[in-house]
Amino acid sequence: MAEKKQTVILQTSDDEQFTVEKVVAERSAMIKSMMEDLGDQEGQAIPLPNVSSSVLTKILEYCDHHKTEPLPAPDANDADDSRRKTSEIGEWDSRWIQVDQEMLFEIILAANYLDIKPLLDVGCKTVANMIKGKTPEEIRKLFNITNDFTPEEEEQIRKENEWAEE
Amino acid sequence: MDRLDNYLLEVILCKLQLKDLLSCSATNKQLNSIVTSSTIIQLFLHNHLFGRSSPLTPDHMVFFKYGSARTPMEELLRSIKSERNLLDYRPCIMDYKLPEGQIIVAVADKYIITSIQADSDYPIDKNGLYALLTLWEIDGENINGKAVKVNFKPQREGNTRAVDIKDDVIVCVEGIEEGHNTRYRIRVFHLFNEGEVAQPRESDEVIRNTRDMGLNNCPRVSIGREGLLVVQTAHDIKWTRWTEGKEATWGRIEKHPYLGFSSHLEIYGSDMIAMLGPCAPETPVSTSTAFGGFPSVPVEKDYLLLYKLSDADRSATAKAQVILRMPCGENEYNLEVRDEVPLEESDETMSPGRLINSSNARSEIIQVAFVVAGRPPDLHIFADHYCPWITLAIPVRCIRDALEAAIRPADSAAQGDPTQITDNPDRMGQISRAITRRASTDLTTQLHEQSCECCPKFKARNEQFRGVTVLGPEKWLAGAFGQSFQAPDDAHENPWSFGTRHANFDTTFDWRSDTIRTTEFELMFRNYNCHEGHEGQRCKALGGLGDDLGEIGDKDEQVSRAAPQYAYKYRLPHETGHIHAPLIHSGGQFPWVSTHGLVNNVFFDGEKVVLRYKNGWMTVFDFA
Repeated sequence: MAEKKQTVILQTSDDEQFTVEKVVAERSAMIKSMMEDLGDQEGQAIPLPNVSSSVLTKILEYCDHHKTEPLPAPDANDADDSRRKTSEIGEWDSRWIQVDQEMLFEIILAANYLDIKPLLDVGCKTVANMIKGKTPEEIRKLFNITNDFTPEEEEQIRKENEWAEE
Repeated sequence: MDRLDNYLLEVILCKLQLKDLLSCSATNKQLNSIVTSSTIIQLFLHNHLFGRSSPLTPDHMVFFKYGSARTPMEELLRSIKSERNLLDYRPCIMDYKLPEGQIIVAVADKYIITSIQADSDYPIDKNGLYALLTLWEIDGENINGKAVKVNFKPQREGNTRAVDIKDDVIVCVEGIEEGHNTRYRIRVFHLFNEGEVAQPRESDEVIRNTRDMGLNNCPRVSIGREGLLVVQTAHDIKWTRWTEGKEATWGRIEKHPYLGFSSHLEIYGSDMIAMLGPCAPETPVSTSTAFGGFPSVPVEKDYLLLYKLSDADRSATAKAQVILRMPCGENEYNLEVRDEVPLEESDETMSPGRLINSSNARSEIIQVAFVVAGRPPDLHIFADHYCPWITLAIPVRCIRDALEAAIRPADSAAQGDPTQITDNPDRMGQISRAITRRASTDLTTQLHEQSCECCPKFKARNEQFRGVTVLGPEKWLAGAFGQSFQAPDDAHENPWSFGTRHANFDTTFDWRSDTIRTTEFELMFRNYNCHEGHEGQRCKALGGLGDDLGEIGDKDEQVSRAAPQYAYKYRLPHETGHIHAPLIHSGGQFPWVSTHGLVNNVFFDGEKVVLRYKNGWMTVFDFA
């Protein structure tokens, strides 16, 4: 008889419950540490008040795909994570993260909250790639950012940045 | 985006390159305040501004990983302080004596790493441990050494060892005797250890090579940024990233005929490799059985082959994407150095060029050195012992632009086969413009007009290397900078570049007293912003030491006082009448300094200059 897979229940902000393989849920350092705190209390749902069910569904898809990869060391610093170049996102990851902007930011927020470093890295790299090669005006338009500089301030910044222009 | 807090926005901004980072800072007040207040980002901008490190890699995030690591803020303050000291010319000068027979292999921060000379035997202790390196820590007036030992016999040939203090890494080659064969293993260690024996890194034993037919086939290792490791054997050139651990995959680099073990290889940044040497366009076909059927077609010229490595495409063999033919004969050199080139057929008087040490890929300049063995054209006072090096310096930045121009397809039809792109004449122009950075400059006419009557005339050639059109000197020399200096035979190892600043020294041979003298050493910063609209090649000399650094004679403990020399020796453009010498120079002088005889090497790590004397003494000029 096949060994029964160990599972954990996650409860999202909209009160939906997900039964998830432990090995998948453990991609999140935050959930992993909560599971350790809860010990053997089977059936106890782990509340995730900052994550909606739609975002969790998406994130679980990511965690499931990467469940066999070694977990990053808990003390691995960001420097090591940043070694990969901006544009280098794995093929599967780049397909998976083709979502609308709102969902992308939700994923980044949730990855930060759930403490899933590789996912946060993928999310931030995706945003960085969107910014690449754009002018300030194009960046504002892309992310719906209001220009709150006065014309004088804008001129000042332009001058300060002149040294880097080609 | 307004939902992300400042921490997450900073994480995103840290993944941007310079121009995008500045664009973001001009978007709104929130992003601007993150850019201006983040220590990591400010350090990155600072390093870029002063050309102290390869700016477009995330290396600025990786600080000293050993012992008491500094915080980014401490690192930034240190960086600013040393920058000010360098520009204001305020070194702290100390003298130390090292044991005999030790050569310096790396310098950074408060550490100096020494080892035995190549081809000497490593000392072995009673426990059978080999002292691979000695780690010297400068502590005020004292210097404390600690041996870094390994429990196997390391290879002792040249280039079988690479050390980087900032990355805390040693790469060395272990040779394992197996019958008549030697099996080689590349080992990767931590430089900083608690114990006596070097700790293997996660990525230890990254390669095995079983070839040895009694020749000196020991692999040579070079390291670059972001864990790049290049291994050269007599048969192939491979690369990987040692940071990936034992699972690291290997990529191959294509070799052209004749290019290889006897050529020179240097790394720039995390992904660019330059190889220099005589090579042939295609595999020569020999009809003769001489040399065991090996083709005996002479290879006349040196070529600089530039490769850009791609992590995403590691399974494909990396091919040279830009190839520069090196100048040959007086009529093909920069005007600045023509006076130093002998008038005779240059094949006989110029040695093959060599790539100058890129300081573990931290140099922002590709420097190619040629030694002139013949008599100089003008009546030089020491003509009998005249041995200057001519260096051509090419900014890495221009080469990167050219590589991008080579890789970027001209049109959709050319996609997927970068080697064919350079057949397109428009693309060729784009590449050469990227290197010269002056769209209208083509030296062909100039080289013809200014050629000297008695020398071989400049000949524009149309060469193809496996589909890549070779750029002759006329296509790229305008973006390079020529300089000549006199130095000992191993001068190619001596100038140390860090970012866009470098240190070198000159020696002369005095035929009257039959002595060699070190005449001066220089620390210089060159501005390579040689794109359109900017005056390129501006130099700022940080200083030079004067005529009397001492004479040869190995008089131990001989201490003389070196006269502070005038800061700079180059002439102004209006004095030379040369249109190619827009040199702006200023600089101070080093104070009076005690010297210990003949200097035989100079090291520079961006904030510290170390003069190594022949008798074991060293003088450290610390700007941090």
